[in-house]
Amino acid sequence: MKRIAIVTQRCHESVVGGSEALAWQYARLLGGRFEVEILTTTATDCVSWANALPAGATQREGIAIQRFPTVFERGEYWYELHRRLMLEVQPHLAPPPCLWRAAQQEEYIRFQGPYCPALEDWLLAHRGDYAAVLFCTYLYAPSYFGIRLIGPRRAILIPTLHDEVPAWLPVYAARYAAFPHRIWLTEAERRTATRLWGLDGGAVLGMAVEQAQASAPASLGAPYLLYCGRIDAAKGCDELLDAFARLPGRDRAKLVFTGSDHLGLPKHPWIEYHGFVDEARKRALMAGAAGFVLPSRYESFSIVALEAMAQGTPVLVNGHCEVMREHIETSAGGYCYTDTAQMIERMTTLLALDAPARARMGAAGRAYVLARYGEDTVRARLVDCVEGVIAAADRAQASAA
Amino acid sequence: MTPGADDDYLEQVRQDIRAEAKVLGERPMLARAQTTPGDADGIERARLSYALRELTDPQYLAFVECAFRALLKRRPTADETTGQLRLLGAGTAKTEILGNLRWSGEGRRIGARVRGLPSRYLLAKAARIPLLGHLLRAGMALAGLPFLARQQRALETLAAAGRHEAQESRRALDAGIGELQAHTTSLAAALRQSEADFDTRAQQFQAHGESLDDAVRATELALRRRIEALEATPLGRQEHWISELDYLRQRTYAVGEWFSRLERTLGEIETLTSKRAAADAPRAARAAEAALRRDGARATRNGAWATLFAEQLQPGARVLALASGADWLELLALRGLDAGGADLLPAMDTLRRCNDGSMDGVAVLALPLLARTTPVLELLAQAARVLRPGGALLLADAPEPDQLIEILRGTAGTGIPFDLLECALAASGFEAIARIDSADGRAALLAHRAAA
Amino acid sequence: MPTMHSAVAAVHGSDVRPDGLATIAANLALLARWQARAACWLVAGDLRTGLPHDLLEAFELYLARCEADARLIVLATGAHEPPQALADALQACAASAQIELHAAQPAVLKAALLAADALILSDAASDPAVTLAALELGVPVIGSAAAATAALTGAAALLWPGATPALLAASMERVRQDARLRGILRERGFSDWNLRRTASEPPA
Repeated sequence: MKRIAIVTQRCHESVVGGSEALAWQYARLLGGRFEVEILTTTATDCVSWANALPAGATQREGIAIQRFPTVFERGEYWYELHRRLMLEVQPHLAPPPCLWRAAQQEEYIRFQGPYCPALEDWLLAHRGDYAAVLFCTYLYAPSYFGIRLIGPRRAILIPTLHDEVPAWLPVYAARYAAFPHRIWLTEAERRTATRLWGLDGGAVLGMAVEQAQASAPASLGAPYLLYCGRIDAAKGCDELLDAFARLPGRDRAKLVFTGSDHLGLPKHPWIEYHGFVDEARKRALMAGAAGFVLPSRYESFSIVALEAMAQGTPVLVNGHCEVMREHIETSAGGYCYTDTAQMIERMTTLLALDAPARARMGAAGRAYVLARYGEDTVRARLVDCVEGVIAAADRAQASAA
Repeated sequence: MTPGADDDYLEQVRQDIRAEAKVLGERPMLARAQTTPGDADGIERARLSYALRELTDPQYLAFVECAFRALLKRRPTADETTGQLRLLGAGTAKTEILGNLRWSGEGRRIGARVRGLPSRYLLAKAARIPLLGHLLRAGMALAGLPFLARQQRALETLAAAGRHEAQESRRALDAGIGELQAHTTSLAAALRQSEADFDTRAQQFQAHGESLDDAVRATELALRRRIEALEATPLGRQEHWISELDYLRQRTYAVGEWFSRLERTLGEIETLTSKRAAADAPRAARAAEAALRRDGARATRNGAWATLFAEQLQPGARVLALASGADWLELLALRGLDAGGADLLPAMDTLRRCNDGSMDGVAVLALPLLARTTPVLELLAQAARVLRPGGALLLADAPEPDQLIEILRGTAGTGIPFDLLECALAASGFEAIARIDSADGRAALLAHRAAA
Repeated sequence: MPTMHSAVAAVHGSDVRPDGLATIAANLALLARWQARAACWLVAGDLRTGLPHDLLEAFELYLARCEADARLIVLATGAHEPPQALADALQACAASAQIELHAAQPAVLKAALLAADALILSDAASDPAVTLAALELGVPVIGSAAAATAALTGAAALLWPGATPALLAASMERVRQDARLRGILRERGFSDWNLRRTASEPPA
């Protein structure tokens, strides 16, 4: 079997993070076809990047992991650079003016962390051993500094790009322009890259979504809307609460939350907080809900909304989030809203849907997820993509020899 | 980009540069960049009034030159130039350097007036005093907030004053600002008593810090939401907004920075306190042990209480013992009770984790030890919840080891008058309340949870 | 862990961590001052005999014909204080208001490298450790092609045999205007630095 590596900033059971979950899933999906190795840091905290795990080789579910220590934690120095960046870059103006020389932009990336010279040393010493190296997340130092050690033929970038201020730093666009093999999660992400970096090549693959249906839908004694995930104002949960509070007939319905509560959910008879639930319970809650609501504006993929769609549940999403709007508009598996009034109106509709109408909408959503994000579908496309890159690189190498 | 293509490109560039170099000298001369203002020797001796910006705008050498000419009415010597440049290089604020010159002996004699300098100089100097500096910087961040609130109100009008979210966030912001100001005032007051006992102060800081933490978070959140709301507002006035948004952004980061400084200060205080506590702990433990050995009446007293308590219960009854020495558990076990204590968790946490009606008895020997951190009423409510109907509760004010240690370290809770405690028991659903006075004058209360 | 950037560490002594200038924080006050729209020249070396005349001439030519508000940062290596003779010479020259002189302490050197448009080398003003740090951090290097500097920078620098002030000034102007040129110099500089680093290490 050919050996490939996946570089990512963190990898551990305890780590909750979108791009880390993606890297891990891709490692699993590629595991049967390649000898996969994850190259990552010893950090578990994505703010400080403190060394928390032992450095060296280990295994997780049969996949080899190499961890390398970070040489410093994020500190006052980086926060000051960050503060200046926020003041000096005005994302409203495109392209935003930036007085920072390239060296200073790279300084920002280096001190943002996790900075792992040993990981770079490893890539340099072992680059000949890998048929391909995947770099997950454009933002962090392991990808930015690591990818230049691997030639453009065998490096594959998985950017998980958002429209955020650092993404506008010209060094990112310049660096990644030289690496033509890219994997995008959605078309919307690729369009963002075209707008921000002027790049658009690469494959749109997405992420596999659990499709097993719940054995029995949950029943909570009243129709309910469901939210799963981090309960936080940054995710729009305050807007959700506010809208639900103003819902006509809210006392005959419920708003159900699962996940970690960072907002401090108020106590109302119509709010039910279930804390952390296991996967089976989550699926049952999704299957039993009148609708699944995702009020966040900033989602790069939102696996949880797709999971709800896989349960045949209509979803309601924030239309300001391009990625989510695309999921809904393509699938017809739910509704978008753009303001609070519309949000209330859509919630009312969802709670009042009769069984056949709900089933029609749910089936459309489920069909969409199965067709695009079934594990076998994503695995096949991913393996094709990686094999294609390796074959082209081998051909180029042979013709050069 | 292939290496070959790059080589070709570099070669092209080199040719271009060579060609450009040949004709560089023929380009028109550019006007010199603005340097130090001045007349023949560059010194305006008669002028004694300056705007701060005139002196802070020039860079580096020009700055030093200009400062000396304006404030001392002479040019700097080579040594002076080097010295001032070194200060600049070390990151010293220009205002501080100007202030140093202006209020030097020489500068006072000349007495030039620089508008805006005195306050800034004072601030720059004060910011160098460690703890006060933190507070001052925090204060400056705060001072900006009311202005920010005003700014927001103006923006609101512009934003066609419709949006519910905006109003919500403004309310939260105003509340946050009010709270921040209140907290800073009390923080400053706390600081002024700098001769007061360090531990007390650290505790105050702790408490303020926590609520301040919440307030800052709320403010920051409100600011962020406000920024987002503004960004989303579909008004065709983007140019105007950009500068306003920048201002808001800047305030958000100021608050963030202030918060991180505060967090650090609190962290330092915490470290100091815990160091001190760690140093005191062994001594306190030794002293408490010695005191226990001297307490000849303890064995008799505890034995009598244990016997009386056991008489209220069936053999094998489940009893939770809190705030007592390990020997108290043995006394209860000897009398046929199934007694357990708080092993690792703090006593109150152990009590809170017990299931409703799961205990036949609860005994608290050193009540002040628990009352130190938990209101007595809550303690009684928890005990009532944990006891089965008819279960027995024993409360005493006995000098148990941990209580002695707290007394020695000055962190002990106050005793509770037993008359008051009797009333509290009655109010909390206990009945058959009896006072047991032991031979050495120590008292305990025995009560039963009323049947449902 | 292999020791990297030993050249930098050797010159700056214990102030620099073994993993090089990359992990040192820049002096932020200086960085804020230097990071501006106008061109920023950087010269570093043991300048006890003063700034080489060709460099000063090149900078003055650039001020007069290319950008009037350009700045020149001069870093004196090998001493804690810049030499007095150099300070006097710089104060006396016509462009003195646009020249800054510092001792090359690590945090100052880092700030200068982050803010500079290019590091300028000349036969009499260069420092191998600073040159290597520039290659590592992706700062373009331009200057005269004396044997020593050419061996150090390989094909990664824009070097001129017998550089004239006009060639230096025109090179700086081109580097400022040409993002592709900067990109090529940066990437080549990094590969060169990387090769040098791996060559000096024991095999893993």
